[in-house]
Amino acid sequence: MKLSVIGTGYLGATHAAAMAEIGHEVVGIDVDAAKIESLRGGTVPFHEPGLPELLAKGLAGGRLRFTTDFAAAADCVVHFVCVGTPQRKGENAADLTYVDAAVAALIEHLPVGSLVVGKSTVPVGTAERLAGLVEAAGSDLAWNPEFLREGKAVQDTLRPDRIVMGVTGERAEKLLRDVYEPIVSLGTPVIVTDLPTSELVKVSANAFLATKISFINAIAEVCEVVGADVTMVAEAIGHDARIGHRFLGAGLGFGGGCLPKDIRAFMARAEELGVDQALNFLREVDAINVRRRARTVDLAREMCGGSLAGARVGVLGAAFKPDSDDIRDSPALDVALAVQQAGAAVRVYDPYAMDNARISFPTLAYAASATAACHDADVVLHLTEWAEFREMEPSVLSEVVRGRNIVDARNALDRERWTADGWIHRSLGRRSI
Amino acid sequence: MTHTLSVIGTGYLGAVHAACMTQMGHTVVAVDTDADKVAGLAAGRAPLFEPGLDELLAATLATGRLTFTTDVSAVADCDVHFICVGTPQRRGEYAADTRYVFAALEAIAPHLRAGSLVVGKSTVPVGTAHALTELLRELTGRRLAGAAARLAWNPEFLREGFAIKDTMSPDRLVYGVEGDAKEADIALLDEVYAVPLAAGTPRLVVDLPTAELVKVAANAFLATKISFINAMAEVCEAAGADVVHLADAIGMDDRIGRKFLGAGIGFGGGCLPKDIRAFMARAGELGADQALTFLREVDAINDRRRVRMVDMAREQCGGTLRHKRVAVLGAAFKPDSDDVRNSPALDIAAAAQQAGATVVIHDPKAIPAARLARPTLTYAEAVEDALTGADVVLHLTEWSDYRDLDPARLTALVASPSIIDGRNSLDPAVWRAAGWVYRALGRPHA
Ligand SMILES: NC(=O)c1ccc[n+]([C@@H]2O[C@H](COP(=O)([O-])OP(=O)(O)OC[C@H]3O[C@@H](n4cnc5c(N)ncnc54)[C@H](O)[C@@H]3O)[C@@H](O)[C@H]2O)c1
Ligand SMILES: NC(=O)c1ccc[n+]([C@@H]2O[C@H](COP(=O)([O-])OP(=O)(O)OC[C@H]3O[C@@H](n4cnc5c(N)ncnc54)[C@H](O)[C@@H]3O)[C@@H](O)[C@H]2O)c1
Repeated sequence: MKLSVIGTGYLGATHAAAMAEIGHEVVGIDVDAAKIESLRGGTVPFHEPGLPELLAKGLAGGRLRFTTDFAAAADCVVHFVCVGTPQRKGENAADLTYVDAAVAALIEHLPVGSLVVGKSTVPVGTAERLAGLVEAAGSDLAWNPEFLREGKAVQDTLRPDRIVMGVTGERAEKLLRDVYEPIVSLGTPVIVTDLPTSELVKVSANAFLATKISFINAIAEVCEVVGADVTMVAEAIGHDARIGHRFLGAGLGFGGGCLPKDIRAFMARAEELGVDQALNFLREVDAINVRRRARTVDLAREMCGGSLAGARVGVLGAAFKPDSDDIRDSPALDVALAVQQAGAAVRVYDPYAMDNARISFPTLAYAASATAACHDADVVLHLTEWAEFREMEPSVLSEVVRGRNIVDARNALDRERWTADGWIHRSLGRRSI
Repeated sequence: MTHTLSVIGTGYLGAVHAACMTQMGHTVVAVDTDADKVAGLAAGRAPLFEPGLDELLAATLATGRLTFTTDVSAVADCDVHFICVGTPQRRGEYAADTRYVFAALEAIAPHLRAGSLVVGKSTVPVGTAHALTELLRELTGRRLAGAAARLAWNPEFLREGFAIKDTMSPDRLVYGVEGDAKEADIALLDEVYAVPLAAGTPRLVVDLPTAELVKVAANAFLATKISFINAMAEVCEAAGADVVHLADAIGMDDRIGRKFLGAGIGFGGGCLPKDIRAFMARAGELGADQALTFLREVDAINDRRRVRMVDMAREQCGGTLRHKRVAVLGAAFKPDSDDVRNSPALDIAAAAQQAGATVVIHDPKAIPAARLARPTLTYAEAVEDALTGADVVLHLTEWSDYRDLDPARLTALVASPSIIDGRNSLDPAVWRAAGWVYRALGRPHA
């Protein structure tokens, strides 16, 4: 089939390449000329394992192309809207201007009888509103929320947990089933539902994940007061299949371009619908998450003898999670900045995210390696659990630091090994050994 | 190696634990202060409905290795003592009432032999085990000098309705142990739990506060998961979406999981509500109340679903419940149990009656318990009797009996064929095909 993908960021670029991979003829359209130029040349403008290979394959096979010209959508049957829906400045609500602009631009070139498929994460009710516009142009609208995780985006797109189709009629369902046939035939479950449910599935899934993370971090707060060990609590409760071990890692909490903005937009939308009390708990989820960052700064301060003024702090990690160069709302950079503001000299190292970090946080200092970042440090903060840090020999840092103090804000380092090498190891939700 | 064990407190937890420990080969002395309960158990009558328990009691009593008594001195020969007494919510407060746990320890202390191990199973606020350790040292230290009795915490995770299976093959065993002899305590507990351990049950060894926290954290998570999906139901009602489809879709993510995502009238029973409140109260005492503020919302969402159910009943009755007949299916807080402690079903039935309706309640097992707890409500032994002349039927406890009902056969009984499914567990298509108006929580258009 001939498909267009509008918006070629994390989601759109991956989706376009994956759709080409399963046999479709795909044109990716974006307003950002530099991004399109880069994708055309086979360069993925962000770090995503496996995507460069998929992109190269699609370009070489001639099934995948990129343009800034919306007219290229004119001969496509199905159009995926993948543009950003960031948090509005100074507000909790989602900014829908990009979605609205993309749909408006698309409608100009929309052949009658085609299908517009929303993939962006939007407040419930958006699809119904857009459906009116699209139907007036003689086409259908469906919503097909995306659940991919950065770092695993390719695999998540080609082998998703499920495909959710929010549709208003059988024609849309049929077209979407045709698009995803190669994936569905692998046994992927399909859930067909109405438009508002499909929108809510995405935000509620993210709300649940955020809640699960903040839940265990709340337990970590209690553990810190009573001297219990949150990693053992997580291990023990995770054996219950109704709970499960996944997403029970206590630590610095969530960040990134999705979870924080999605739960805030969800609260804002609930308020508009007059059911704000339903989501009051998300306010707590957000607050717990933010408090963990403050706690990490406090631990750093304690390890520096009560004041960060004049201290040297080595920061390991800038991305909001490992295997990604995404630094949107990154807890690591938030902590680095707070520590710097408290008077410390901070140096940050991250295997992939430094370029992005430099652009967004030019006032922080960056180093080319973990050892360079930790040179003469009084305390080392482990803030993003890259394998490089988890597998690091403590002795490598022992030689360069001024004080063997480490805060493992991700509970991901082997603390026996660090302690054995003479380090004072502190973490969130656990007593030190 | 088998042991001689005592079980103090023979309620839901203790009765099941005593029978299962006997089944695993141990000799068990079970003690309760409630003489009626003890007499019943000794005669093979479980004081509660739990699938399989009557049979297990009969089989284990027949071995001669299980005895029930009110005489606490009978524990003198035991190596291990399980404390299984209640820890209810204090009246007018959120905190747990731990006085029965302290009383049980004081009662057995004079009879403890040197080197014996007291094992707490009740759900207690974090810090209780340390206080009990102190008390145990005070009470037995002088008498048993050198080989003082010790304390461990081994929280229980059984679910009513699955209590025997959960005890015989639990998801995991948690040992909270501390002190110089903790290796010996672990070894002793391993012998007690040899059967489930041999079957591969994971075992975690932790300190006392962590063991206490595991239990309340698990219940807090489960309550949070239920209230999460019920909050989504509230949003679905406002946005015209379908919470059952939503739960199916998010449940396929194995970081979430479909279990405990059933939207409906929420949780009740003798554990979840009291445990999350006690957890909040304890966090407050510790100065960490903000950590658990979210549980206040979890509790509030849960309460609101009960109110919503009554509102829907009122809507179905044309705006008022006065002089209407309401049939209630279910009294127990969950199916396969006769436990009516903090039962959402009875709460809703009482509220409907308060609003002027004539309410008749049916339950396959829980009517005796419900009659005791709510004597002013009306009960029917047969579903048909409850339904006769009803203006609306409320499905409040998802017994399989109700899923198996044939709606076509019931139409003639009721005044108006209208049902509200408070558990989202009936098949809307089947009921509608039989001419019923079917409504449910969180599915305005389903
Ligand atoms: N990143 C993820 O992991 C992820 C996962 C699931 C869902 N989502 C959702 O997908 C959407 C996109 O997220 P992202 O992370 O890919 O964002 P992004 O910022 O990386 O990409 C958005 C892209 O849209 C382009 N764009 C903006 N306006 C446009 C217009 N009018 N026409 C064409 N292109 C336009 C931008 O130039 C940019 O390249 C969001 O709603 C997000 O919540 C993201
Ligand atoms: N019921 C469950 O599903 C379940 C599951 C896990 C944990 N728990 C926890 O187990 C504990 C017991 O719960 P339950 O549901 O069995 O309560 P219950 O009220 O059914 O039983 C408690 C029993 O303890 C007895 N008792 C009170 N004081 C005593 C004393 N000094 N000596 C001897 N017996 C005494 C009472 O007479 C009663 O029979 C609670 O802490 C509860 O939170 C219960």
